[in-house]
Amino acid sequence: MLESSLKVAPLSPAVQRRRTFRRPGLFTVLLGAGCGVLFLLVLAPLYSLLSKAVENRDGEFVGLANFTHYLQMGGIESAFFNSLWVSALSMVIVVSLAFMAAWAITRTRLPWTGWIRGALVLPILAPSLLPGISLVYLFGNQGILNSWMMGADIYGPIGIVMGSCFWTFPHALMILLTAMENADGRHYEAATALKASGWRTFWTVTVPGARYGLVSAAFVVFTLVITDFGVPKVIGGQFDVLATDIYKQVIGQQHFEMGAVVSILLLLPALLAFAADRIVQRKQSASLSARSAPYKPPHNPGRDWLGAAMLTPTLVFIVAIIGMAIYASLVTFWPYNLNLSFSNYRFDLMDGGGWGAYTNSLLMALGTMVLGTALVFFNAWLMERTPQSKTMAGFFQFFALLPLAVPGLVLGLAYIFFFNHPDNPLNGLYGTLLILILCTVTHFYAVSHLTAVTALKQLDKEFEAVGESLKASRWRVLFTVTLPLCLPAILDVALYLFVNAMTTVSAVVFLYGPHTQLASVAVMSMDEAGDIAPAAAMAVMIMLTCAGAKLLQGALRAWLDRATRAWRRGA
Amino acid sequence: MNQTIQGSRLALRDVEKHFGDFCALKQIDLTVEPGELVCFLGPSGCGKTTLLRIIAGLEQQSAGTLQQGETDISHKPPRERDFGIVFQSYALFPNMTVSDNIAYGLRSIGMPRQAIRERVEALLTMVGLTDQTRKYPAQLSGGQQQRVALARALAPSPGLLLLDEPLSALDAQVRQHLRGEIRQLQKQLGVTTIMVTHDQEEALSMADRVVVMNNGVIEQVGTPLEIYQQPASAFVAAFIGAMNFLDGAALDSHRVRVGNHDFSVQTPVAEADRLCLAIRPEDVHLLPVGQGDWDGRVLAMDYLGAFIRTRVQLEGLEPTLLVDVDPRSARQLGLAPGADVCISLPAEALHCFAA
Amino acid sequence: MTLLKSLRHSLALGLCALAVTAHAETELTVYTAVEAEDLQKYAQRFNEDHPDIKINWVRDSTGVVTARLLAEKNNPHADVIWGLAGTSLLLLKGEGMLQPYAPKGLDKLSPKFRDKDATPSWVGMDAWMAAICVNTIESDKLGLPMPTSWQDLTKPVYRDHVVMPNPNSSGTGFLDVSAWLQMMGENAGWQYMDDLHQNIARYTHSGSKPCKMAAAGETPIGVSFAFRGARLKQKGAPLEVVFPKEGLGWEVEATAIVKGTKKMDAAKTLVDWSISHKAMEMYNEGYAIVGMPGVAQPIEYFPANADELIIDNDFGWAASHRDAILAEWQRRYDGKSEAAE
Repeated sequence: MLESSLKVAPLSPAVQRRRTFRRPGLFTVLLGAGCGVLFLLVLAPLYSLLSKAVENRDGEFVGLANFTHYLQMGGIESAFFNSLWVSALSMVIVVSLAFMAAWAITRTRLPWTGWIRGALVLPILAPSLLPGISLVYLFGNQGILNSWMMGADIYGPIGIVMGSCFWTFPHALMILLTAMENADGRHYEAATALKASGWRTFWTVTVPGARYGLVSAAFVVFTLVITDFGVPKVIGGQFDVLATDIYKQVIGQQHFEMGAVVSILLLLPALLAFAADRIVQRKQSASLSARSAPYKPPHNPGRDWLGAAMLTPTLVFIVAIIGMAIYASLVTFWPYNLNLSFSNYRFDLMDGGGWGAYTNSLLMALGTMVLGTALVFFNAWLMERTPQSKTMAGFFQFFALLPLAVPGLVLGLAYIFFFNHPDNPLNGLYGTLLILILCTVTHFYAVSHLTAVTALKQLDKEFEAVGESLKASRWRVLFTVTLPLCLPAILDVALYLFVNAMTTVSAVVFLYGPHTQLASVAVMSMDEAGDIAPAAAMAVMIMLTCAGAKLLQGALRAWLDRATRAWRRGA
Repeated sequence: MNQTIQGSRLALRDVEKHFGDFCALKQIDLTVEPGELVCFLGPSGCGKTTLLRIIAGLEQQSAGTLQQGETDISHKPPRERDFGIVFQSYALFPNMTVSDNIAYGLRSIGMPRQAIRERVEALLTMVGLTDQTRKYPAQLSGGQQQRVALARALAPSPGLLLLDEPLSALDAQVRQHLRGEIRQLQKQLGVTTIMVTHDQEEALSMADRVVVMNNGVIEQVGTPLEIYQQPASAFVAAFIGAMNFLDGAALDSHRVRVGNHDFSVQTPVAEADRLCLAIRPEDVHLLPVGQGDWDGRVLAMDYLGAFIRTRVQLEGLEPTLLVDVDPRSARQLGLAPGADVCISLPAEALHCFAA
Repeated sequence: MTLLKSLRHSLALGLCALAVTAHAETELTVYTAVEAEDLQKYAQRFNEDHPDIKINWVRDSTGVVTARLLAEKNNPHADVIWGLAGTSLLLLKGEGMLQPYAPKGLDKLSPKFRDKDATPSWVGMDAWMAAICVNTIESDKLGLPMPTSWQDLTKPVYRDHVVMPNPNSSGTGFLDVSAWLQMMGENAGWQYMDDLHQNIARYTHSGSKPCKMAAAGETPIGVSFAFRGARLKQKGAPLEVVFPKEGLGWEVEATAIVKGTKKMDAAKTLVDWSISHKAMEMYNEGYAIVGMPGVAQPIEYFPANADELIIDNDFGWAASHRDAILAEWQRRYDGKSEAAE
């Protein structure tokens, strides 16, 4: 009926040829804008700092002189080598433990897995200083488990590896749980039918099914550990790693140009890991099966006991660290006056901003959560679910993952150089809560982005095509189908951003202003002043807030699960 | 359902598609008549799905034009084209009930609420799911999901229905049943339909015309009977049904030599040194020893219900010949593995292809 | 009823708050490395005399504040720096970031406690001096004698019982190294550090950390600074704060105006006050030595003759030789990785 009014005169061949090159559509422009935003938030600030690597103090171009100078200072080989092996060792330990934990949670019939999962992600809820305090109280010279060290010293590589394992474990676990929860039950049935032993099934079905998750987890853990200076600084003693070298150069000696040199060197292993991850992940899209039946572990007490045995060490380690931190916040003066009291929780008497800082942190975390989730999800949607050129999507992916390889300290300073520049029209942002929010969103962009992309990839790739055929715009499909289906992932990203914003220190320490002090920074300054118990108390307070957020999120997810059970599970 | 759809005519002219250096479609010329059901049939990677997506506007052709009815749709975005589509995965919206899924496209075009309700009810009746309206896709069987997808695609009364392997995810019995149902519905509505499939049985049993594709080109277009009986190329012959191929040489325009036996053919052949003689297993005559052209021995027999597929080793020829024979003749001939037989190849059943 | 009451209450409170803000006409952004616990006190005392100027603090450790000030060089946000190490201020002065100003009462300041220029770029508050924190309980357990001098620390009995800050990361660490080199001369100084290195259990990245470790019994002896030792002792740590008899490295904590501030008058008022008699008395509550001679009273845990113990520190020499000293230090001692031990 509409056909007659839509009649179009045939086009001349020349016109036709021209029209095959379509003008960039709205979505290309939008992802271009997304690239632009990330360019402003990641690349431009980084450039403004890292370009100092080829300048001298007065800002003149000196080529690679700083690099030569740094390499000649000596100690670089050991720092580089130390960084590599500590990160690699932490990676192997964390990925193995996280894989065992994920296996026990998804492939056995252990009870209380909800609580176990909650306990296992506790480290992500705690400020990074917390494991530092706890490890010393547990394994230091006065530590209650000092004898376990058999004369070895917690201040050094052992401490770094333990601390790094503690805080990176939840990252690896989250990735592996996602990878293993989507197991196809039919593969297990096939293995059973082929009389494969449990062991053989594990190696031929479970491990290959999780291999992309394993690679991702390895990449994330390696990069997180190699770029972190928090743990090495607190517990590393004089054990040199590249990240503390940045600290020495920038904070100890105010040599920004040398800090930039080390930052660039630090980017190299991270970029290599990034490339390796991308190559492996590229093959993944081909192996995704269209439909699968959820796996339900059969009754097998032996396997359940094995699962429990594999979970227990990790669980005990995490609970011990957290428990020790809570104890540390209550004790009057470790280790000589062990009377317990709640006096350390009177933050109004505390320095470092007290409750005001706590409120600021809360506001900052909420802002990061709302703004970050929206930005991350919208960009991921543009990249995954709208027509985009490969080049553009590739650029975007690079921008989105780059922040993972940048130490917070470097990001914070880069933000000063870029956003505080008098010629930058955005310099009004500097010193506001908004810049803290933007910096934190950037700092934690990569993992949020990966989560959102994974969720979007799991949706039927034809939803938009069906929508088009039904005359529904991509926007309508986004709001009526994609968003409702991705709500669980959106909640995950929101929580991730919230808890990280509550606990982060390394970047924001350069950016908070007189009215935007933060609780996590207060923890650091109290610890610096030797007020370990109040520092632990504030850290516990932050952790409880994050745990509260996690519980709230869990409740929301449970509610969502119930409300959508009918269409999710068909029950 | 009493309402019929005005199926539209679709014409493709010189459609090409390149992915970088790879040429996925070459010079596709095709006209689909109003109300016709056309199947794109071919092995995976032959370009049939790409062609379907170009028709839908989900992919942009590298060259060529598309015309639907009187409208040039070559450069129209999918939303401005007039079609409904059912994917292999169905892509039902899992968070919506059956009726919400079906109503989705009607809401897009701003149909009044009451009208939507009536149309959804009519469609549900049509696909026989009136008792499932409040259920979610995950609560339905595969066949039911398929029907919902079909109803959703047909809801806005499109002039063109595109089906991308719509039955491949279903088990054999449901598939058999749905074939007939879809075909009946399509005839009843008069909607022009293009279906992509790699299942020749499906194509032959449902289509008005079959488009056999290979390596990005159309090998043959024709009715199922034409495709089966007069394959235009060795590829089509091999792809559709079972076929024996025997290497030979042309003696003159009507005589071909295979091994040391000569055969007459009906269609004239070019005098090439080498050619390929083809015959379907059911066209080979199996005779008692001494009564045919060529002696052989039975190697194996497969009982396939209505007929027996017999594997025969011919004297002096390496490849074995498949012969379909009905059980009664088999009994009369005393067929058993190891038995000696004789065959003859009737001239009217022999096809010749360039080797 | 109660709702109305509380509403009226909060309204009244709000008005009060408004009145207070209206009263404080100028707000100064002040960067500082002063201990967080003292900030409230500093602002309060200042506001007793100048209620119309509100101080907004940005506090962090010396290294972070200095790095931040340098990074903000193109577009400074601080109006005043109150309480930052002299070495840092020297660096900022070299970058042309400080506004020279001769505050009222400059003549009353000891010459050691001011920038040498006629119109000084910074003026001193107090001295922040090196000290050794000794944990009495752990020392007794290990049977260690109480050290009284720097030289004592090189005795074999202290092997692996001493912790000190890495001068590459910490200003306190550099202070010690620079003081040893000035007191003993370059050759003897490096020889001393070679010997000391034998006894060092580890170098830390923070200047206060060795003392905190001593307080928590993680090490019996931590080379750190006096203020931290005294505070920790006050809080109940079993510490003895030892002031080695050879002399102590020290560093001035000082005040300066950041060039380009739009609130020059208020900034000047603050700097004037920062070297007033009242301010000096306030500094004396935490520091044994203050910038104005004759003000300081002996305080708990500090020696009465503190000002005799501090060396005649040549800050100019220390600043100009800093890079070379640090490079040499790194060459000699930083290779001591745990793996190689």
